[in-house]
Amino acid sequence: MAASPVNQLNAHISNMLATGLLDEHFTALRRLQDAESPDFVDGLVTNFLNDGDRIFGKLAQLLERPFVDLDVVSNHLMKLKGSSASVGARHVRLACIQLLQLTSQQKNRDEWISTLARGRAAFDEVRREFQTMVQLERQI
Amino acid sequence: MAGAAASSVDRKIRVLLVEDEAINRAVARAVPKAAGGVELNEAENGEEAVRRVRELGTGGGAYDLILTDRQMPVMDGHEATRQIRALGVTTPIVGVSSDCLAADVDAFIKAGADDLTPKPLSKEKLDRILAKFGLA
Repeated sequence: MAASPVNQLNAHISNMLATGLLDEHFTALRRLQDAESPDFVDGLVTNFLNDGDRIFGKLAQLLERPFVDLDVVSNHLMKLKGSSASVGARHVRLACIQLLQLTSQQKNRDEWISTLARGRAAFDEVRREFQTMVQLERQI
Repeated sequence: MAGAAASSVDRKIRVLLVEDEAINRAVARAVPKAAGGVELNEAENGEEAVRRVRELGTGGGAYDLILTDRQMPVMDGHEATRQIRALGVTTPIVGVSSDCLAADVDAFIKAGADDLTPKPLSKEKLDRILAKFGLA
């Protein structure tokens, strides 16, 4: 017998937590959701995914320029680090920390690009899993 | 630097949240709702926070607690804290930042804040902060 939608959703979220994609802050967010704001978590996740898409796109553009303004890069990374911390997107937050460390080191463009690609991959992974989570929620 | 506690059991604790990112404000907004008894006002940068605090003065309409992000456009959390202290405001100010190493805590305290807590804000963290400053 197929698992109920609620069980599937809980199993999916448990897996995201167990693999380290999400941390306890996501669990705390779900506790803040109530009957008055049933779409609270979905709304935050949607905003986070839109922001993340925009910021990674911006970072890729910045790194293509002959001169990379590291202050601008840092500002974008700090924003994404903060919002990923707020939604509990652990891998993305850690990727932002790695990229921020590069801003204080004399790293070449190739290292920047490869680290950014890893960060983007972490973001794409959490986006896929969040999208699955939203689909499961809609079945409830 | 503890400010005045709420003077009445029925009076809500007035908190000013200073945060530029919409997601972080949305999370922080939900926390007082869960904690109960807290009225949350918001400012999107340090300059707006200083203006709001200056307008309220140090009388009965003043904030009981200020929670501020560090990195914000227009005016950051450190500078906002310095300017609020320069107004003679003794309300507890707590930094809320994703950088919470010892050096980050020191920088906020040197600016005049009372404490620093890591992002994101949670009900548990807010409860601890309110208890620490005698506001619970």
